[in-house]
Formats: sequence, C-alpha cells, structure tokens
Amino acid sequence: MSAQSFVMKALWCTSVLLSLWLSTHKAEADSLVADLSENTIAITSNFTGKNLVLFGAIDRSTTLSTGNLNEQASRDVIVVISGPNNQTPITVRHKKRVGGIWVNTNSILFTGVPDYHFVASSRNFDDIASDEIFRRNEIRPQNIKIKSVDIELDEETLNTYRNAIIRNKSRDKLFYEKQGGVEFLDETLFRANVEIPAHISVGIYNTKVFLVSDGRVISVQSKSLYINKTGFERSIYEFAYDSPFFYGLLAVVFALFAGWMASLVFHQD
Amino acid sequence: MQIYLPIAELSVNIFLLLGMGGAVGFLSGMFGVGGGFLMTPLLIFVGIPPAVAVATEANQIVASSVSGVLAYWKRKSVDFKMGTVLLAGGVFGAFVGVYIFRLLREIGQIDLIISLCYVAFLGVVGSLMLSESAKTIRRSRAGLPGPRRKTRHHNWIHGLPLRMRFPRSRLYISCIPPLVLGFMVGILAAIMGVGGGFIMVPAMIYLLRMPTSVVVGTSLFQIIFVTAVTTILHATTNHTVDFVLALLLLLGGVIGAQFGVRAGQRLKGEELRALLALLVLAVCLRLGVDLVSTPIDLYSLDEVIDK
Repeated sequence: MSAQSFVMKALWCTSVLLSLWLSTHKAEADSLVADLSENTIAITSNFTGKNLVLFGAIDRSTTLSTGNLNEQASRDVIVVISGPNNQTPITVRHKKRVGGIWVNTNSILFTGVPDYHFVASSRNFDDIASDEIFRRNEIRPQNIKIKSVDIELDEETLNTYRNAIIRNKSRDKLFYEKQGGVEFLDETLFRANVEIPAHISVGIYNTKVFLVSDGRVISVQSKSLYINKTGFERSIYEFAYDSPFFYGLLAVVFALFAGWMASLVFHQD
Repeated sequence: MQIYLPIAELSVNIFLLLGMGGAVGFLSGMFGVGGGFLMTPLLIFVGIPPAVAVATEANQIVASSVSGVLAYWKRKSVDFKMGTVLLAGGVFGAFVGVYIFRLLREIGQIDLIISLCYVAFLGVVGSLMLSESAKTIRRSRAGLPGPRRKTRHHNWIHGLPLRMRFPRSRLYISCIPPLVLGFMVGILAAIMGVGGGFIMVPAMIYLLRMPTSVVVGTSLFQIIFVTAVTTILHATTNHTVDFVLALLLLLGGVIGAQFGVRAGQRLKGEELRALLALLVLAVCLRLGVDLVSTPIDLYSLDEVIDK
C-alpha cells in the first residue's frame, strides 16, 4: 500500500514538474507531454499481469496560441496502447454443428490484428469526436484496419469475422475500451490506469496519446512500451525456438534422469 | 501462487499443477497405469492449449515410465527383445503421428481430433473394463472360480511369415503383428499425449498371447522410447513442449505415485479395475459433453503456425 502511495506521489511530483517545464518552455514546447510509469515490462515466473499508470499534461497556453481555439473549447485526451509491432496473421475459424458435434468449418486469414489494443478516453467517445477521426487514427477496436488476405470475400462475411475477432479479444481483455478512463486531475494534468493482462505477447507496443479539441486532433505523442520475457522464462523460450532439437533432447534427458532418481529414492527394495 | 509457463504462455496456479500431478500420480500408482490419458484431458480442462498439453505430457511419461520399468527390470519381467520390435514400430508411428498432428493443427482440426480420439478410446476401453470386472466381482461373490484363460491357442497371427523367437515371453511368432501394433500405438501416443499402455497391454495379452507377467514391464520399456522420440519431434516441429509445466507435473506425479501404490495394495484387482473403468468413463463423458455443447463463441481465433 505504502509503495503504491509512494508511486502516486512520485507521479504527482513528475506531473507537476512537467507542467512547470511546459509553462516555462512555451515557445518550443509540444502542447502535450505524457509518459508511462514503466516503459519496460518484464515477464517473470510470477507474472500475473501489470497495472501501469500513464500520466501527462497538456499546455493550455500552447493550444490557445495555435489559433482557432478559444478558452471555452473542450479538451479531451485519448490514450491508445496497441501492438506488438511484429504481428503474425491470425486465422478466424467458424464452428458449425456437424452430426451433433461442433466442428471448425470455414476459416479466413486476417492480417493487421494487434494482439493487444487498449484505449481510454476522458469522456464518452461520441462526445469527443466523429467516427471519421477515430477511424483515421485507429483508435477504437472497431477502427483497427483488419485486412483479409482473400480478396474475393464479400463485405458482409468479412464484417461477421471482424466482429468475431473484436468479440473474442474483448472477452480475453486483450481489446479493452475504457470510456472515461482518462482522468483530469486539474486543468492540465491527466492520468489513466492501464491494465496489462497476464497472457500478453512479448514485443514492442506503441503508446499514443491524442489531444482532441473541438472534434479535431491537435496533438499526438508516441512512445514505445517494451514487453519482454526475462530470466529463466526467457532462456527456456529462446532455447525452445532457437535450437528445438537440443531443447527436446534436454527435456528427454532430464525426464530420464528424474525417473531414475525417483526410483532410487522410493523403490529401495 | 501463480507461475508463468514460458511455452504455454499463460500463468497457472503452481499448487493446482502440483496437485494435478499428485492426483494423477496417485491414480497411476494405484492402478498401475501411465496416467497420460487422464493428465492430458485435465490439462486441457484447466486451459492449457491442447497442443502443449499433448507434447508436454509425452515428456512427463518418459520420466514415469523410467521409474516404472526399473522396478520391473529388477524382477526380470521385461522382454527386451519383444520391446525392441514394438518400439521399432512405435518410433516410426511417432514420426507419422507428429506429422499428422501438425497437418491437423494447420487445418484447425487438432482439438477436435484429440477429443474424438479420447472419447472413442476411453469409451471402448472403459466399458470393456467395467463389464469384465463386474463379471469377475459377481463370480467371486458367488464363490465361483475365475474364467480360465485360453492359452497357447493358435490364431491367424501365428500363421504370418518372418517368425522370431522371443525366449522371455516363450513365443515363436511373426514380427509383423508387434511391429504393426507398435506403429499404431506410436501414432496414438503422438496425437493423444499418452503412452498407450491402455491399448498396448490388452493387445499384448489377447493378440500376441504374451504371458501377463512380462506385459506391463515390456509395455513401459517401449513407451520410454516412443514418448522420448515424440517429445523431441513435438519440440522440433511444433515448439509445444513446456519444460516448466513438465517439471511441475513430474514432481507432483512422483510423490503421488508412492501413495497410490500403497493404497492400491489394499484393494482387490477386480475392484481396482472397476474403479479405474468408472474414472475412464467419467473423463470420456466430460470430453463428450464438451464436443456437443454449444461453445461460448462459434468463432475462434488461431495463431498461424510459423512455417
């Protein structure tokens, strides 16, 4: 508990420093600064997911100086974390009842499906901007440009399958939408809690923070988030993929040894 | 306490895995079976991907068969010559089985085929065992002697060419039936993640007419090699052997088996068989229900296997 409050205090201080820094560097400053509480997540043997805090500040004076904006204009922040970058295609399979048993019948191969897609916004999406803006920036799960390799399929079938991807991923908390998940602490400071589930893939993820005002994106900030396996888990994973034959051989030798040990210990007759 | 499994890529409670290893080890010690046919479905029930469950279980069976065979070896109840012929067929079967496994995985039918294989084999073996043990129990309660096994009767198998002498089993038969039997069980071992003892043992007794005393030891002996080859093949073609998972199951299994052996000595053979039959049928039923009940989503996502 105390560790958590310490983190919160640290974040708060950083945020205050950020806003101070913003206010003193008006001329060359971005209108938005944000960062995650951790930029690297290590998957270790006791990894059960992780809660990150994204925090940041917007500079109202800069947004004002860009021209069209006035003091009353709405300011919204949207946080998107998506990835990993090296996406492998996925197959979506459709089950049908065949003789009483559920069998995978049709399947379609899709590319461009992120393994994980998190989005949080400061208000309801409908109040922030139009669908067009979300589509262009691939903000919500349904805005992700998921493409099929097969070009002969009709749009209706593709949409059924696309929706199935979103539904499955959402059920596993891998696609996650948090309307109102970005919280403004005052006029300029904001924060968002990001839940990284335990079954996340390793790789480089892209964090994007959008500043939206009057339905227009006026600033975007990008950062990378690294998720890696470390230690023993990493060694095993790499060993299994880099030299699978020796990995298998070692597993067998170990099992032979373990079996022999067990009989030594327990069957002394 | 959760532990992250590096190949299965999910985190599972460590005590659940140890407990499962212990429970299946207990049962395998009690009934004298390998336990693969119980462990693989259990792993699938707790959410381990079937492909990982099958390959990892093959790895665990290597260990449990080694400790089993050593005990039989001391009692000189292993027919190494017969075992070698069986495993020659078995290793070849494992190659074919892993190839079929990969093919089925690519077309998205592996989960279904694993379940279907289990339902079919467990159903048949479980019902046969139950009816046989029920008969024996009824007969012994009525005070009648058990049925005399027909021995040394010549069947069609004894007419085949390429005969070999198996002194330990006191047999002079063609090497084709054991080769074919080994081959078939090898395929099953690779697809189902089992040692195949539950098919091999009855086949050795009823088809090959081997003496009961050497059957289990010989079966375990050849299982070591077939599952070892299966493990390496799964590791190289499918990358599905989870070393951490195997380690935990092994640990629980070794300990559980010791208690199981002691518990088993207090029960009569036919009672043990009846209990095992009920257990086998329960697993079969559960898998069967999963096949026919409507899944939560008719669409599922599947990662494309790297070529």
